[in-house]
Amino acid sequence: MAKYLLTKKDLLIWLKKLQQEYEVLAPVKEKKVYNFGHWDGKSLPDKSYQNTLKPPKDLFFPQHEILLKYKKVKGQRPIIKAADLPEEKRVIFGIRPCDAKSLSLLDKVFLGEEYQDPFYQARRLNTLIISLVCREPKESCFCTQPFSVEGSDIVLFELNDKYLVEPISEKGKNCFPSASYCEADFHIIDKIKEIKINTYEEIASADLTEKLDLIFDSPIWKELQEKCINCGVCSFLCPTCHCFDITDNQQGSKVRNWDSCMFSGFTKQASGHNPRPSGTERLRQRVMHKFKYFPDKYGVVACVGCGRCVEKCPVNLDIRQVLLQIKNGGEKLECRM
Amino acid sequence: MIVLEKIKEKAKELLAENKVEVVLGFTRGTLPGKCTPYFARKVDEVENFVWEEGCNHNLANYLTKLSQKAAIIVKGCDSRSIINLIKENQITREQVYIIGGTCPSTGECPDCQHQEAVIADYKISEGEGAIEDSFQDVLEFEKLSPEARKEYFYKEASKCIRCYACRNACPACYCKECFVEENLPSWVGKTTGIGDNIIFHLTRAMHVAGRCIDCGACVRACPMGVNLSLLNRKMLKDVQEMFKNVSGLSLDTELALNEYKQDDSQKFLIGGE
Ligand code: SF4
Ligand code: SF4
Ligand code: SF4
Ligand code: SF4
Repeated sequence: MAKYLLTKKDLLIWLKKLQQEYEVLAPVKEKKVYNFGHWDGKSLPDKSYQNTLKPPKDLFFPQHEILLKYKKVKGQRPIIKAADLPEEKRVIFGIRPCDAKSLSLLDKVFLGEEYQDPFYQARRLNTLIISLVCREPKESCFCTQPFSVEGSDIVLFELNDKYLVEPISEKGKNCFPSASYCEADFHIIDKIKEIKINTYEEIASADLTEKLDLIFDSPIWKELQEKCINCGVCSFLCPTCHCFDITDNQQGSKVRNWDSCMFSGFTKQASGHNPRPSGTERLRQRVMHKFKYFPDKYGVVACVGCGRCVEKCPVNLDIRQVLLQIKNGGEKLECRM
Repeated sequence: MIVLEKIKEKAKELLAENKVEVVLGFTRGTLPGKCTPYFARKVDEVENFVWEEGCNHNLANYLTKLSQKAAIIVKGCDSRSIINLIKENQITREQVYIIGGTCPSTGECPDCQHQEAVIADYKISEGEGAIEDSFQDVLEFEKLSPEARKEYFYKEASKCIRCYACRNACPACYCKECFVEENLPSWVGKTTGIGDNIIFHLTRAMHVAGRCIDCGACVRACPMGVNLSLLNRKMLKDVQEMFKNVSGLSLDTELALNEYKQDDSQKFLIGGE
């Protein structure tokens, strides 16, 4: 597909133009940490930008969201009102390819054949995704497809002081005035090869899924989870984790909140019985869901290798190590780069 | 290095002689500067232990979940948590063999007063005694206006994503069912709105008052950089001043909230003396 060469100034002008019509969100730095926020209209993420602390999923599937409101009126039927659908038109600029891909995975869940979530759908339709390819992976990253265009409407490559812009989707093509810019020749496109890629062979491969088929009852889960403290870090910071719980609040609203399979309350039933009573079953669920059930159902693993869980796990329970250990039948592997 | 050798020697001996079934310590992690909890059950696994910068998780946290007879390699804060867990009948003294060292992390916890284990069956001492806590940070904070203090806590709490890593990393937070998980009645909403977040953090702070030993595990566990240690330290200071009590220093003293005296200070109550 055609790629166009833009100077930094060109890029800013184009984004400014988009800003007239869209709310532009970009990685915003606060105390050494990046998160998506309102773009100030002038700064672009500098070299210190590797990825955002929080994944972009909450821009589509917020941590808590009112689904409907109800009111009891004595002697009458209760009044139920669905929440309004979000209408804001947005651009997300600077999302990393792994995270853009995670959106295509979330689509399978929230925009699948069986169910379509109207809130998620509205946000997806109203949002243009402009991804920015990494220059160098983080120590904790293990994505193997840094040039993946999945989930992106437009892909950007950073080349020293210039940018290569590649519109991908129809939506992307319509928002990019390609006639105003020069197409990049192959000399320039070749420079993409200088971008560093992690040397991981694919950790989550087909043979892993096969292996997982056989080890549901294996004692390995108990061993692997022993140091896990069953917090929500790995699932809440994961761009693809999407489990939720629906509760009522005192104001008469049904609220959807993120939930995590690592919490004891996740599977606790009204009787008090818990089918996943300990950390062993919970860690197994997390791994199985990502690398077995999700691929079984949708044909692709539910991990994009962003490394957030690796970096932020309070006890350094490294998913890469877990997967390698499963693949190697219990043998421990050094996973340091 | 010598400390690590002594630790390993002891751990091997305990496992070889079947005195314990598991030894809790640290091994090197998968990211630079990180160490990770490690459970050695065989003599040769002991070689994987490290004792260095990065061994900063509070290992006492695991004792309440272990059913086996265990040895644990501790620094000052872990050892103080163990004392509290014994005082609160969560574990027994006999169930755990304590290998006490001096904290290998340097400069990470500026207010630490007890780098050396305060209780141990086998102590590897480096002679660093206890230091008096001056609570300088709390004193400075107390001088701020109520609005400024509120602003600080709101700012910190607003970053929280309610992953509960702070609670789960905390050895004092061992409740089988935490108030945040109860839903009949629901004590606190599940959203990350500032109201719910503040209620979560203030309630947790009250629940660990007089029991928190300021190990900082909660702050280190937090992925979002929420730092409410000032809140914990204010509690620490109040308990110390009002009840003349510092928890986790000796098996002979009760925790402040575990006993009642007629002349207990009431100053923590609104309008109390
Ligand atoms: S499992 Fe970990 S590495 Fe994979 S997508 Fe989720 S947070 Fe990223
Ligand atoms: S972040 Fe780490 S400790 Fe927390 S649940 Fe995930 S694996 Fe367990
Ligand atoms: S509240 Fe924090 S500092 Fe206090 S004991 Fe628990 S983890 Fe340690
Ligand atoms: S660890 Fe941090 S983000 Fe998680 S609940 Fe505690 S304060 Fe909130």
